[in-house]
Amino acid sequence: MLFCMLAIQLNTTIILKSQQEATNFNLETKTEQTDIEIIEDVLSGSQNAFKTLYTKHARNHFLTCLRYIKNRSIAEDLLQESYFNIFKNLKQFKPEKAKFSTWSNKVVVNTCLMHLRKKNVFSKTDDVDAVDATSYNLIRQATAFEQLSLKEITEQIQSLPKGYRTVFNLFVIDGYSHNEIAEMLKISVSTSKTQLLKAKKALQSILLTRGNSQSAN
Amino acid sequence: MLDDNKIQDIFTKASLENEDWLEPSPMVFQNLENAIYSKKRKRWFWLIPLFGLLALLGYLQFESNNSLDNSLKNITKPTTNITKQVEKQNLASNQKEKNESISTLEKKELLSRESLTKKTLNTETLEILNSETINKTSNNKKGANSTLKTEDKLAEKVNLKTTISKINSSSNVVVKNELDKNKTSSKSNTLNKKDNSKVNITSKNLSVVDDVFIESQEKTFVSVINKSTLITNNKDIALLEQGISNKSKTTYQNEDFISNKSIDKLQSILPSLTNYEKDHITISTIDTEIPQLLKQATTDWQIGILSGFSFWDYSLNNNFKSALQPADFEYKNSKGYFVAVSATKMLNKKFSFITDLNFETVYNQSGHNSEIEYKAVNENSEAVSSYDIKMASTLGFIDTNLKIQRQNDVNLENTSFIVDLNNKHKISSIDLSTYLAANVININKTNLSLRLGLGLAQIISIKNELTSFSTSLPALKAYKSEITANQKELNRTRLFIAFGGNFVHQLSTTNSLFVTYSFKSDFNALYQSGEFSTFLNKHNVGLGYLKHF
Repeated sequence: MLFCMLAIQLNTTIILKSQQEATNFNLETKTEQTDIEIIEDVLSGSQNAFKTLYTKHARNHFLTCLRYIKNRSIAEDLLQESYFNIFKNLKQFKPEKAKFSTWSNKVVVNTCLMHLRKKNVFSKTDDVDAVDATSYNLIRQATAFEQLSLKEITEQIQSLPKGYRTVFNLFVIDGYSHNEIAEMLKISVSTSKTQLLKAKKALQSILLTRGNSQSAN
Repeated sequence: MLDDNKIQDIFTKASLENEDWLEPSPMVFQNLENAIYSKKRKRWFWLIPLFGLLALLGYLQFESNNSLDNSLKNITKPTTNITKQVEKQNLASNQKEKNESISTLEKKELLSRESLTKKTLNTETLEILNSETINKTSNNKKGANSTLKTEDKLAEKVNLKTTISKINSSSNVVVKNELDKNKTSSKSNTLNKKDNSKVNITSKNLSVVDDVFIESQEKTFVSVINKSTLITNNKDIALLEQGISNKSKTTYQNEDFISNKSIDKLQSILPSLTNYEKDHITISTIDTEIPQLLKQATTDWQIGILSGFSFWDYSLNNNFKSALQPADFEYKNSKGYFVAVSATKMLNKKFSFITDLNFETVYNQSGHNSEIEYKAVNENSEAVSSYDIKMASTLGFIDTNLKIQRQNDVNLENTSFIVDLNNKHKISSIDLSTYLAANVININKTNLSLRLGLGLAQIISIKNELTSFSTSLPALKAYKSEITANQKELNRTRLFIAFGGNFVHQLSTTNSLFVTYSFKSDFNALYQSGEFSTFLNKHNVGLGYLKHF
């Protein structure tokens, strides 16, 4: 009897889970279709459709800009430039290959990287070697991290030196490999790895400092 | 260590609906919209002159085809008469001369396409001259190609040298030249000549004649001259001059229908042609084309349409420049386009009177930095402060209202900051100008004229747009902007002096294309207020079409 009840429960759970997944999938598909429809309208010359597209994705893309660029005004300029590039290259977008959000995020990242390249960020060496990872209290870091809001985490990332911040963003959040990062930033793979490690150490240090100050309060 | 996936999830899967801090400034989209959609609209404006030019070229092509057809018709009619008369004369002559054993010259008619296929006449050489000239001068015209090819083939069949060598001496040439200038009265000149000298016409001479005729690109006139040429000898030159009066000859030369060089060439080969002897050949030409050509050559009126680019050069006075430091105000000169219509009255061959009406639209940008005092007490509940400021532009000052939002998480004391404002201006204007123009260079069908005149300019509309603004403090972001009042104290109507030049190329007697340049300088300031003033100089460069009446 107990076995039967467990089996029914398990079966129900599986069915519910699969239904939920299906719903999620449908929702996602519906969203993508909506994006495609909007894009078709944009391509046919509709100014309102472009506004809809912008309104729908602007926050997400602005967050991307803010992860790479600390200054809000510059980040806004880059968002503007990114959307100009998106509009210009919209015909090249292939819905069957990637979601619009993924494709457009790449455009935004590239625009930010171009800006950083102009500033010659990657040729400079940010000195954070003084950061010592061994002294961190990992448990406290994790606690502090979970307590942070999206805005606070973004600010912590923004506080990293530019070179580290860029590699950290590209590898951890935007999902590029070290090989790809090396090619994009014209640096060696080992430099990319080192930069990432140092970025993480720096971030841990920042989180630790924050945790200490909170516990002191 | 930090978990990479966890961090990634925070950024990729987080709902951003409640994250208002991620809302970009409305200016971002406003700028974006302006950049994308105003740029698209602009393209259409630049297409207008292009369409105008295409329409013009299409019209010219149509006109040239029509004039070719008409010319061919005009040429064919009298030539048929000539050929028939020649044929009759020769048939009669041949019968008489058979007994005297004078070899006859085979004839071929090329001017009359109908006769070409039917008749073989003895005075072939004469028509060869005519036909080849027509072939070459009209060779590039559509519609006539297929017929003319037939003529070429027929012409090729004739062995000129052989034929010419058969021309015998001791023959009488009777030339009858009829010039009917008024269609109602005709003038006939008959020349009887007996000459025992040998015939010495070579193909070289013929080709020279052809070259001369090719230089003259007026087909109808060429045919007339060509016919007249055939009847010439030393005395015939005088006859030719009689046929075409001194006045008309001068006119032709002035109008470059035939260059002086061509006339000289023509006259130089005439003696060779005078050796041509034929028995009692009578050629009649009824020159209805001459009066028409004379009329065209002395057209009184020309109507033109033109289009091109406008450049407005602003001249700001020193007070303007010193009061607004370069760092605070910068501007670019305006660029745009114009379309115009013009009417030209020819006073004589040298001078003309021109009036034109010019509509133009130009664009330019200006930037202005203003220092603003931030006061926390002026903020509303959404941390937005409102500022009324005056922005400088080349045409005076614009009133604007700016809304600036403080970031919620930043507390600011009273402080000063700078706003950077960028404006775009669109100005539409109409100019009415009158000029006295003089032809200074006249080479073949191209002439250069210079002009000097006065005009009245009227600004129809000015549209200002605040395209973007930003602040020097990251904590304060640009939120909204609105232009509340446009420039005042503008002199919308101004008098100007203008000079320029036209480079005209005559396509035919009634059509010309020209490139034009005008410089216009205002007598009074476009903007004048207190110690500030702006004067305007304009440059117009364009391409136009002239129709002669």
